[in-house]
Parts: sequence; structure tokens; C-alpha cells
Amino acid sequence: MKEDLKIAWRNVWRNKRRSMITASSILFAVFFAIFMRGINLGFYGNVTDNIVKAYTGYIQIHADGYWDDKIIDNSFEYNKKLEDIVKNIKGVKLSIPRLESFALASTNDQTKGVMIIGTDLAKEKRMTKLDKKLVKGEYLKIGDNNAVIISEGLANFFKLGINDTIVFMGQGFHGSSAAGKYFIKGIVKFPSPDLNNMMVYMNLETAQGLFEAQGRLTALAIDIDDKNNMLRIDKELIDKTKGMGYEIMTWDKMLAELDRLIKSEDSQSYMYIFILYIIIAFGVFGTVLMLTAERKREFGIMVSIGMQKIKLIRIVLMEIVFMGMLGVAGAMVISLPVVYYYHIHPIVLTGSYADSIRQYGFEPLMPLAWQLDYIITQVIVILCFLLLSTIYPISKIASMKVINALRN
Amino acid sequence: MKIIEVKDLKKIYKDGDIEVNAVNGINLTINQGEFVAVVGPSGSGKTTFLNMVGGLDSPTEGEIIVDNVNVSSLKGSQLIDFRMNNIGFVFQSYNLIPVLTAKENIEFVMHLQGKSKKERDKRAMELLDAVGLGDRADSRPSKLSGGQQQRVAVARALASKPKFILADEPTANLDSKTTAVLLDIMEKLNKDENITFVFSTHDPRVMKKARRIVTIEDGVIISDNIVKKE
Ligand SMILES: Nc1ncnc2c1ncn2[C@@H]1O[C@H](COP(=O)(O)OP(=O)(O)O)[C@@H](O)[C@H]1O
Ligand SMILES: [Mg+2]
Repeated sequence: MKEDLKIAWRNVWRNKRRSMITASSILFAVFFAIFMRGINLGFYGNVTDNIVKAYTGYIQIHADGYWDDKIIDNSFEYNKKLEDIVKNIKGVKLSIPRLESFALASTNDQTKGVMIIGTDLAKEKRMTKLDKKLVKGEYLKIGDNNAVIISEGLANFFKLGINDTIVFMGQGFHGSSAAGKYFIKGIVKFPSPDLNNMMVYMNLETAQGLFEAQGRLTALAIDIDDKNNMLRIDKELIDKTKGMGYEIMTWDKMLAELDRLIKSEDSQSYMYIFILYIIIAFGVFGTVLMLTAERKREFGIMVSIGMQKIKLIRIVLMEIVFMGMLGVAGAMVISLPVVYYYHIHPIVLTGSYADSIRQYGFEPLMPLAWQLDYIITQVIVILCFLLLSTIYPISKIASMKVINALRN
Repeated sequence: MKIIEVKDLKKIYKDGDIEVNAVNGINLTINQGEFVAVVGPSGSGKTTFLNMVGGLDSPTEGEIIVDNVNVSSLKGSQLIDFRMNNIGFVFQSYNLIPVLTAKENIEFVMHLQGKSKKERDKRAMELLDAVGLGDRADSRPSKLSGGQQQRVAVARALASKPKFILADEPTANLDSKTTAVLLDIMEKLNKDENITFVFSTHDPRVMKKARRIVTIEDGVIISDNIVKKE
């Protein structure tokens, strides 16, 4: 074995140029693939952190049909049973009861459509950090039942300030009419212009009173400890609430358009990586082909004097693996610092893609993901290609007739 | 004691419709300690014959018995092991493994045989000295001349302690001076250590060194002479 390793290692350096070219092409491919995957995963993580946490939460529970027809009649009664189911699922960090509805806001002479969110403001703070978005005034406390927080765009539109009053009118539960007058306790600013122009927050009970929907919710937004558990938790929720008339939605279903945007980027980069790997695979295969063909006589002599073919195959495999490892090791040396650098200092996006990201309310930054799994995946992919390319020398050696090899 | 026995050996190559009787019925017995030259013009069948004797090629007809083993009955890895333990090969050229030094090349077969490091070391140095290359132990083949490479090849062929050594035109690529050196070494090993050599050549100067000359033409033996040396 040691002897075989020695021979294999020396063979790698026998045609230094070719080995280096092969190793560097592997290096380049692995580095590039890691970089691209790092961008995708990092971006994905960034999106979920920003949007999901600031808005929908990872999972929401609605009354069945609510998401397609977001009216207050499609609300559900919040009961202890549901609360317990959610609370007892492992990995659930927090659930925020919300009652959301569109309404008309008006002051003396102006009217505008707004989105009213009645919510548990203490919990809201923990997930969406709404308090951090305050630019004027104060956050609501429990019992602030005739106060609201409005978004900055609304305040500007109505030219309202702290302690000014605003009137909301809308449709309540089961056809009742909803109307109420509130004073403004705080003003928050959202990066997304859409949100900034229409959001109104109030205590859950205040909203339930306004819409005549006591004890009812339109959504229970759920925050989780680890986003990798989302699908598992989703499934558990679905199982445990079967037949109870709820719809359980993960964020990617609620924000389907955003999800498509991310996924199209994702599949595009998979495409690039795939093409890249195919090119590299051909390069590696070319090298393997040459090193097999040019040593036909040498192989013939080795087997003539008593080397078993299986040992010879092992040596050639080691050579190929060595070459691959050189490339992979080089790729690690280069990519780890680069990925880490861009993890700390994210790439800033520009152009139309950046604009569409901004629509969702956060900065178009692309930090590279700093996690081991996708890096290891690239290494495994390359090793698989190397293994595939070894089929050729293995079959060549296995079927080699010594006599023909010697006559070469 | 006979170590090689060839009975009615035939090899027919089929090249499309054309059949070539490269070896066409050879009977031959070689005893321990002989120094045999197989001679004949190019294309007469020397290489084909030696390859079959060495178990590198399979006969169309006939038998080869080496030390009571019917070589043609061996297959695959058995045959490879048989060659490793019984036959030393010297080819016309490019015999050596390029990435191994002279000494490592000699040790190579002993490695395959699973000999200890101590034994390998000792025998490799002895053999290098025997072929007069004790000072080139650490040179790679590319740093050795053609004649030196062939001497290392002879040393390597001996390393496994084979029953006999087969050498197909070992001097074909050498000039007359290095040919003489190589032949002297082979002759000395034959005399001093009773090692059996079977080699082919069409070089009259090499034939002169042989103690038995088997002449082949068109795949058959036309003469088999013991040369009396004064
Ligand atoms: N693989 C082969 N296929 C067809 N004919 C062959 C093959 N090898 C050798 N021959 C033919 O067999 C004959 C003997 O060849 P060979 O044994 O190489 O002779 P020598 O070694 O005496 O020059 C020649 O006519 C040669 O052309
Ligand atoms: Mg020949």
C-alpha cells in the first residue's frame, strides 16, 4: 500500500504541467461553485431573515380559504386547543395572534385605504422588531385601547403627528359595520414603500372590538428557532390540525412571487454550476484518457513481471484522487477566506433585481453563506466526477491483454 | 533437470482471411543452468515463441510445461502470480518503471512477493553490484544509458529468484560495446550462480556467446546445436 502510494504520488508529478492544469481546473470549478452556492444560500438566508421575520413569520395558520379571500368573515376563533397544539410543537419559538383587515382611513378631508393589523404587540416586538422601526412617539402598551401606530407614509399623506386623531371605517364581522376614532401614539418607518404607505398597528383587542370580531383572528403567525425545521413543523401542524378547518402556509407559499424570484436565481446558478462541472469533467476525463493511453506499455510490463491488475488499478485510482485532492485542497485554501470575507462584507446588488428586492422592504445585500454543508457538497460532487472518470482506466486495465500492451 | 518443456507448440494469428503460422510446431526441452540463444531472421517467430514460454501469450496448440506446471492451463491472476514467482523478464527496451529508481525497480517484484524490507534491500544492492551499477542505485531510468537500463532490467528479472530468465532481443537497442558488457554479466551470472537464460537475438556477436543455439525459421526449429567452448 505504501509502495503503491509512492508510485501514484510520483506519477502525479511525472507530467507536472498536465497534473497542474487538471488540478487547477478542479480548483477553479470548486471555487466557483462554492462561491455561487454561497451567494444563493446567503441571499436566501438574508431574505428569510429580513422579510419573513419582519412580516409573515415562517408559518401562518388561517381559517381555510383566508389567503385567497382575505376578508374578516374568513377569520377563525382563537381557542386554547389551537394555542396548545402550536405551543407543544418542538422548535416553535413564538406565535403571534393577528387580526388583519383593510379599512378606509380618513381625517377631515382626506381618505385612503389602509391595512389594519391588530396584534399582540409584545410578541410582535420579539419577532418583527416593530419597536425598532419607530421614528416618532412611543410603542403601544397593553391597555392602550384607543391608540394606534401608523406608518410614516400614512402620517405624511394625512399630515398627522403624534396625538393627532384618525378615523377608520370598514366592514366588520358578519356584515356589521366597523368604525372607530383613535389617536396616534407612534409612527414607524418601513423600508418598503408599499408597507410604509398603508400600515396601521393596534392592540389585538382593539382591532377585535373595531371589527366586531371578539376572540377571532385572521392569522396566527409563527416564528421558529431554526429555519431548517420549517418543513417538519409545517407537516406537524398540518397533521395535528387535520379536519379543524385551518390552512397552514409556509412563507414561500404566502410570498410566492418572492419565492419564484429567488428560485429562478437559484436554478440559473445551478445551470451555470452544472455547465461548469461538465466542462471540468471533460478536462479531467481527457487527462485520465491520456495518462491511461500513454502508459499502455508500462502497464503491460508491470503486469508481465507479476503485478496483479487490481493493484495496478489501485495505483491509477490513487493518482486521480491525488490530482483531485490537490485541486480541492487549493479550492478550499482560496474559497474559505473569500467566502468568509463576503459573509462579513456582503455584496451590494444593483439594477432591476435590486429594485425588485427593495420592493420587499429590505436592502439588496448578498452576504455569502458561511456554513459547511454546501461547501462539502461541492467537494463530493467533484469526487463523484473523478470516480466516474476512473471507469475508463479501470475497464482498460481490466480488459488489457498483456501481449498487446507490450507490442505497443 | 529440465525446467522448460515445449511440446508441439503452435501459434496461428488470424488477420482477416489471412492466417499466419507464427509458430508452427516447436518441440524443445531446456535444462537448469543452460544459456540458450534463440536465433533467426526477423519475423521467424522468436518473439511469439518466447512470449508463449513466458505465459504472456497463449498457444493455439501444444503445451508448455515449466517445472511440472502446464503454463497454458493457468488463467488470469494465477498466471500473473506464476510469472512473478517463476520467470524473470528482460524486454527489448523501456523495461523499467520510470518513476522508480534503479534500486526501487529491482525491489518492485520483491515487494509484490511480500519480501521484508531487509531482504529487499540486501538483494537489490547485491544485484546492483552484480550488474556493476552499485553506484547508480538512486538514479531514475531516465538518468541511465540504454545499456545501464538493460543491466538494471537483468537485475530486476533476477530479484524474484525465478526458475529462468527470458530475454527477447535484450541487446537490440544497444551498441556493440554495451552489448558486450551486458552479455558478460549474463554469462557470469549463468556460470557463477547457475541461472538459466533463454534469449533471442539476430546479432551474430551475441550468438557467439551462447552455449546452445536454437535456430528458428518460419516458426519451426531448423537446427539446435550445443556449442563446445574451449
Ligand atoms: N499480433 C500479431 N498479429 C498478426 N501477426 C503477427 C502478430 N504478431 C506477430 N505476427 C506475425 O508472426 C510472425 C512472427 O513474428 P515475431 O514472433 O514477432 O517474429 P520475430 O520476433 O522473430 O521477429 C511474423 O510474420 C509477424 O508478422
Ligand atoms: Mg521479435
